[in-house]
Parts: sequence; structure tokens; C-alpha cells
Amino acid sequence: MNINDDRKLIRARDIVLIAAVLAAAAAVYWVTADFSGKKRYAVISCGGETVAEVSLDRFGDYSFPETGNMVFTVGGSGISVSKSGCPDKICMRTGNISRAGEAIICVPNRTAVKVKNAPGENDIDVVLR
Amino acid sequence: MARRFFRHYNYNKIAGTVSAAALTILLCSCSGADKTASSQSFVFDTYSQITVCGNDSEDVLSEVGSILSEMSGDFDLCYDMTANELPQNDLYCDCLSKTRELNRRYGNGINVFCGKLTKLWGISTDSPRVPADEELAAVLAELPDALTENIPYGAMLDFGAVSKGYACDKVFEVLEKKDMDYGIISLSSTTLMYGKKHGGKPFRTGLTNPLTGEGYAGIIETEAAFISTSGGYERYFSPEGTNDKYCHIMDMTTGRPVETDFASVTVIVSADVPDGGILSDFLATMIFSEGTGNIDKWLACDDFQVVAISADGGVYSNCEGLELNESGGFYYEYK
Amino acid sequence: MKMVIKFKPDGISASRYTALMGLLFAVSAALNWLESLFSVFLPTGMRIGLSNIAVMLAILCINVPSALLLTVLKACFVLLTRGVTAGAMSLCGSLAAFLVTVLLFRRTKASYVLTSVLAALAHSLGQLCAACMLLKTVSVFAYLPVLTVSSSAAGVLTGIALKVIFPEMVKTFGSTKQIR
Repeated sequence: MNINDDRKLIRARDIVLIAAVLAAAAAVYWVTADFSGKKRYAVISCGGETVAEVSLDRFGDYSFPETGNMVFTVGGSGISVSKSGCPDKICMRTGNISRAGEAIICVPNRTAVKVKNAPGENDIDVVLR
Repeated sequence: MARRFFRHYNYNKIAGTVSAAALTILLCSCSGADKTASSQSFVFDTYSQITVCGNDSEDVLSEVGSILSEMSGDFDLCYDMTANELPQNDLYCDCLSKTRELNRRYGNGINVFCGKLTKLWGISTDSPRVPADEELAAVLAELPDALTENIPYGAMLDFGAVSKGYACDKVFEVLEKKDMDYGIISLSSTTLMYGKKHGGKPFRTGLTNPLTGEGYAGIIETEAAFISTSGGYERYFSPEGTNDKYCHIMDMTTGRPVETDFASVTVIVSADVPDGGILSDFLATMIFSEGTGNIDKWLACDDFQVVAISADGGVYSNCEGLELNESGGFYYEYK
Repeated sequence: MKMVIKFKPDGISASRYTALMGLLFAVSAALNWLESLFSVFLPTGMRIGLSNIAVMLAILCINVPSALLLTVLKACFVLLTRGVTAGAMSLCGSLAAFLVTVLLFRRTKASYVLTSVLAALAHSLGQLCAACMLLKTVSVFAYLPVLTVSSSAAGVLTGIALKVIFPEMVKTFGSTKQIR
């Protein structure tokens, strides 16, 4: 117990250290997150193998034999998991992802959905027909 | 020196405040879900997509969705019943008077009493056909004038040229009342872009290539606006064994689909303009019907912007925010 | 060479040791539930590391082998209640936090808050690595910025709680004189 006798709650240098860590996290976020526009394509992978690449322009429901009972829905605000057989349904609660770098992950199903930038593709909000 | 600095402070108070702050950060990050809500449906005989962002976006989304499906159903009744058989609804009178007003202002463009003519051709139904000349003559003879004040007995209404724009105006009212951040309401050929996107970026609308039906003719960048498109490349009837294309927009003088050298016309009305939705829908159809001959008059108007694409890819436009897909074969005839 | 790991330190009686371990295990289970409420915005059952406080108290009040035992028991609890995947993630995260805490509490005089924050960060990193290995994709690390913020907040909370609880624990259970 001797080493704990004069252990402080917090010191000045600790605040600096924690602030530096938070700043680094913020920097990583700003560098990697892509804010320009919405329509890209999502890569659905299972156990490391790419199962499908879905353009976020093509609305609808998708399911694949490899991902079992999962249903992916592409809509106006991106791609989301609308049905899944996993116990916690956290992948469904993640909601919609649409920006490059965002991901939905379902660990029980070993599935990851990741949005990627389509090279040279214009970011469109809506298509007029 | 640090020890001297800290001795003056009450540790308990500091600890309490910091833990409260940390807890708040944790709780706030939980509720930091995206305020955007989206849904898709099939209304006004087309695929529609609604996205709203703001407080209670889910509630607003369902309210907008039910308004659209209700209106769509009400307007659909016009295809089966004559005007006097229709149930009492302010909708029809309101839409009628607004169209009448637009006809007075811009010249007789849209005649909503053409229900019998539309039904005769049946384009966009399961059984389209080319009617015989006698049938056409009969229907044309009893076609009421567009500016008729009282709805003639036995006439059939067709709001197809203005219904989507009218619906967007109603949705605009809801979004304003609920003070949404932004919304994108797409009814395929008419779109409402409401408010301002997070980050202040303008709305980008892709204009479908009317010559091929795939890809973009251009992209329009706007602030909040109503945008409507009219063209013959989506809904048309091509009888078996012929190359004829009969589009769904009718010419009231001949009773046949309009003969125009435009492939599509897009009208952009700023969201500041009252009833901008029905205006954009009305004008898109009207300018499309008139063809390139009359386009200068429309391009000179300040109240709205036009992007008109002719059948050979020539683009007539006074729109500032247009990015033309020149590699797709589109070129400016008039800028 | 026969190596015997003595879990129970000499300073306290067996019954007191059992009671203390049971208490800490129950605390970690309860905190696990509390954490699950916060994990709505995190995918894959990740936790923000509040339940590490039980392990840290074990390191401070008892000894390191007991803390390791507690870590494993925690992971088993998660395994039984939430499944293999969550259990694996809990194990990786808690082990990482355990290592960091042992290093800082036994070898340095780092403050409570700093240790807790670093332990919580290690916990998150451990979980991300577990998720990365399970899914065989690096895209899980997209959550690093968010997790850093929430882990730091959780770490601050834990550190403050630790500073307050630790003396009280010593008063109630006595010191084991094992921590040097």
C-alpha cells in the first residue's frame, strides 16, 4: 500500500495528456471522415470476404446467402440493416450510414458494411425523372 | 509550484463537477443519433422518397407520408368518377382555382377538365390505345375550356399536370410549421428541397438524360427550391409493331399527344415563392408542350429558371447552378 | 519448478476474501448492465469500460492474481449472458485494461484519473482488436474517435470514483499489505 499513500486524484500534466489524446482522436476523425455528399457504394463483407458491393443509388432491400438472415436496406439516407438474426440487434440499431468510412458491424454474423467513395462520382441528393 | 496551485481548491467540489460533466458527455453521446428520417412509398403513381431532418423527424415523416398518400388517393378518384360524383373535398376546388390563376397569368397552359381525353387514350394505365378519329372528335367537342369557373356537369378532371406540385406545396407548409432543418421530398418528376442542409451545402439534383433514360444530362445546384420536370421519355405508349411514341402529355387542340422538339423541360422555382410547387409543375408541362419556338419568352422570366433539353441534346437554360454533362452529348444552345 | 499462484493474499481471512471477491464480481456485473444502456450508439456490443473499476479496486485492495481472476470471471459472466462474441470482446478489452492498470498502479505513481482513462482507452482498443480479428476487417477502427471520447469520459468517472472508494474499502476490509 505504500505506493498508494500519496497518489493524487489528478495532476496538471494528466489534463494535458488527456487533452492531447482527445485532440489526436479529433484529428483522426476530421482526416478520415468524408463530409462531401451522400451517394457512394457500400461493401458488404462476411468473415473478411467481400460478399457484395451495393450502390447507394439503388434503393431496395438486399440479402445474400453468405450473410444468412440479414436484410440490408438502401434508402435515401444510406444503407442500414433492417433485419438480422443476431441476439442483440445492435447492427440494426446503428441506423443508416452514408458517408465514406462509416461502417455497420454485426459481430455474431461476422458481417461488416462499409461505405466507400466511388471515384469521380458526383454526390447527388435526388434524381429527377 | 503545482502543489501550491492545487492546495487552495476544494477537491470534493471539483471531483463532483467533473464527474457530472463526464456523465453528461456520456449521456449526450448516447442521444447523439442522427435527426434524419427517411421513407419510400408509391404515391401519385410513382416511386416517392421522403427525407426530413430536424426535431421529431420521425413524426413529421409519417405526417408527410400520410398527407401524400391521402392526396394521391383523392386525386386518383378523378380518373374513375365525373366531377359531380367526386366526394366533397376542398382539395379539388383549391387545386382548380390555383390552376385557373396560373392559366390566367401565363396563358392557357393546362386544362384540368381533360379527364375524358386522358381516359380515352389510357396512357399510363394497363390498356393504352390509339383512339379513332371519331372518338377523339366527340371528346374534344365537349371538352370544357380551361378557365371555366363552374365545373360543368359530367366533366372529368385530370390533375396530373399539377397534382405533384400541389402536393409539394402542402408538404412545404408542414415542414415550415414543424420547423424542420431540411427536407428532400421526391415525387420522381417533382421535387421539393426544403431548408438548408447541415454544413450549408446546396442541394444537388441530378437531371435524368431524356435521350437515353439512363445517366445524367446535368446536375443542378440550388438552395431550397421546387424543381419539376416534364418529358415524354418515361410515360409513353408505343403500339405493337410501330415506332410511334405517344407521350402522356396531351395537346388540347388536337386531342393527341403534344408535338414538341423538346425531350425534357425542367423548371426551378425558389422555395421563397408562394405555391412554388404547383407553379413549377404547371410551367414544366406548359413549356415542354410549346417547344423551342417559344422558349425565349420563358428564359426571359425572372420568377423561375428553366433547363430545356431538345431532342438533339441542345440545352436552353437560364439556370446559374447547372452543371451540364457535356461528355454525354449535351451542349448549350442558349445560356 | 513448481509454481503456485496464491490468489488469496496472506493479509486477510478466507471469509473476508470470499466476501470481497463476491462483492467486486457483483459490482462488475451490475456495471456491465449499466454499460449496456450506453452502448446503443456503439456497434457490436462494445462497452465503454465502466466495469473495470472492480478490477482496479482488486489491484489496489487485494493483489494482482486476484484481479486477474476477477477479469476472467467477468468475461465468463458476459460469455454466459451475452454470447461468445461479446464474451471474447470483454475478455480482450478487460485484459488490456488490466495490464495497463497493473503497470500504472504498481510501477508508477500515476494519478487515479490518468490511470483510469488510460485503462478505459486500452479497454476500447482491446475490444476493437477483438472485433477486427472476428470480422477480419480493419473498418472497425472507424469507431476509434468516438470511442476515445466516450472512454475518456468513462475513465474520468471511474478515476474519481476510485479515489473516493479506495480509502473506504481499506477502512472496511483492512489493507492486505501486499501492494508495494
